[in-house]
Amino acid sequence: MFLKVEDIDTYYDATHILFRVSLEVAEGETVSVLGRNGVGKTTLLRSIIGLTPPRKGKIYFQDRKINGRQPFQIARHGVGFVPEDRDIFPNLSVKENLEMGVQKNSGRSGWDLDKIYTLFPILKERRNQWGGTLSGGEQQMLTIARTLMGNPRLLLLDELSEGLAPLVVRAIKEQILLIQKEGVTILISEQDSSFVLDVSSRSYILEKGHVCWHGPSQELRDDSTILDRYLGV
Amino acid sequence: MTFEAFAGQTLAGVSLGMVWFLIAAGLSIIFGTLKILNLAHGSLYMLGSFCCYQVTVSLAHVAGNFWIGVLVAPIVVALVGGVIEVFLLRPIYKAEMIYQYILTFALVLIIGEACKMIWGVGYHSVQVPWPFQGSIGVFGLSFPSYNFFLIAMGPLVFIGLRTLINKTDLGRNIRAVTENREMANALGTNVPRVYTGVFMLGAWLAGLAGSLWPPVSVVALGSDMAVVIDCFIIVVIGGLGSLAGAFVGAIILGLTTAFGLYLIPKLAVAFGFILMIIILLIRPYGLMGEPE
Ligand SMILES: Nc1ncnc2c1ncn2[C@@H]1O[C@H](COP(=O)(O)OP(=O)(O)OP(=O)(O)O)[C@@H](O)[C@H]1O
Ligand SMILES: [Mg+2]
Repeated sequence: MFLKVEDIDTYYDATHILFRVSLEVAEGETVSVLGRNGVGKTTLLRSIIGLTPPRKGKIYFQDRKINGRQPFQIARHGVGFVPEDRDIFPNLSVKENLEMGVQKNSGRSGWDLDKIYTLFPILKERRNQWGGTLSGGEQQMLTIARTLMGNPRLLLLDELSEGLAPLVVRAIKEQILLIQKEGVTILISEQDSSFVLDVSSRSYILEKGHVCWHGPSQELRDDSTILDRYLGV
Repeated sequence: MTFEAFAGQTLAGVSLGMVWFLIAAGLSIIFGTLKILNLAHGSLYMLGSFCCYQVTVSLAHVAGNFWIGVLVAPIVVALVGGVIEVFLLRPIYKAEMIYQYILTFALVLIIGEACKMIWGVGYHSVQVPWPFQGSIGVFGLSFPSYNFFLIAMGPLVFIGLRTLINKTDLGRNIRAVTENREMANALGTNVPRVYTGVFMLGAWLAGLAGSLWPPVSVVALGSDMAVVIDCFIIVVIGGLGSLAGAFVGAIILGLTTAFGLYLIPKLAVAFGFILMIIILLIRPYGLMGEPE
């Protein structure tokens, strides 16, 4: 299996957040993780990239055990993490932000400055500005582009649409579709299912740190009762 | 005050300030990136002084022995810094601040005692090196040329550090880790190695300052605490984390100290603190610092 999360338990200090969460993603697939506020979606992605390592359970990436390694090592194996809160480097230029994503000698290729600037023309225009001067939508594009610079095989996208205008969300969705076409495997978390059900083939729904449902995204599109039960307000 | 005395104190103050700048710059960079207030930074300076002195003694008959010392001592101090970061600081980054103070203060005692055991409690002197033994005439007055050399070192190191931090990949990594270590880590930057590198750079600067100052002073125990307090004042009045602030702060404190010593020697110790209070009242974040 390309990515295999096996029965992980994750904590913030004494607070138990994830309970025996398991999940699988096949190569080339796009999988979504859905759930209400605070159910543990971000914590799941942080567990995979190693920022909040699970205390129990195992995580395999390309059949290699990655839990227990440092985030930079996991990133160098080809896992790219795009954070939810647009964690750019505000006092680095846009170009320097992109350079921070570069991983030398990774043996992977495909994305470079030219290609990124073609996909995100606005970043080319703003390349010499401080990251902090970008608008929210532009910062979100920068976080995606920055991670792509490392040529990840697996892309972890955390709540890209949060707090963005519908028009910006649509632009980002287009870009995700293009990235998918490049063959990048994607695990994407969202609260708002409308954004991801079209782009993902399978979905997992989290509730209070447990996986409470998983299956084809098609089923969620066809049967709104599941969505209402776990995501409705 | 005669013009001669005025010019003499100015020169002395600025040279002292420039040596302090080297130490304060390291203190400030380490604090910025590692978020550690290194109480032992003055001890690294003192260790640099003793090491350079040791080289001049061991190679007493070798021409240019002082300059060999200036080359070797900061490297030794940087290596000691590397060992300190990897084996002592690394395990406590996640602990509360107070543990950092206790640990770095313990290092002050350990390094101080080690220097005492190796070099004793006496004063050691280092000759003013070739080619700076002579004097330089300015406005018909003559001043020791080594002071001009010291003054030149300040801007040189300032420009060097600025270039390193703003123009190189290493510097970009340092800035990124300083702004957001978690994100830099998740993007593939070996953050622990950046930490070690930054600490070694700061230690190297302290060792360089320690090597350069003895020809105008002496090598002796006790300089560790004196220097670290002065450098804290510099970093605070200049603005935490600002290199330019440390530069300006160092010159201001150097001049204040030199003129204070000349005019009211009894109060000299207090001048630095008075200056700090006045500047903080006017600009709470220091001269070039920015609000958090
Ligand atoms: N650093 C932290 N320390 C302690 N608790 C935390 C921390 N970060 C998150 N939590 C808690 O962990 C739980 C899960 O948070 P998480 O961010 O994973 O949820 P989420 O599903 O991503 O929510 P959202 O949709 O709001 O982003 C929440 O109850 C949150 O309050
Ligand atoms: Mg979240």
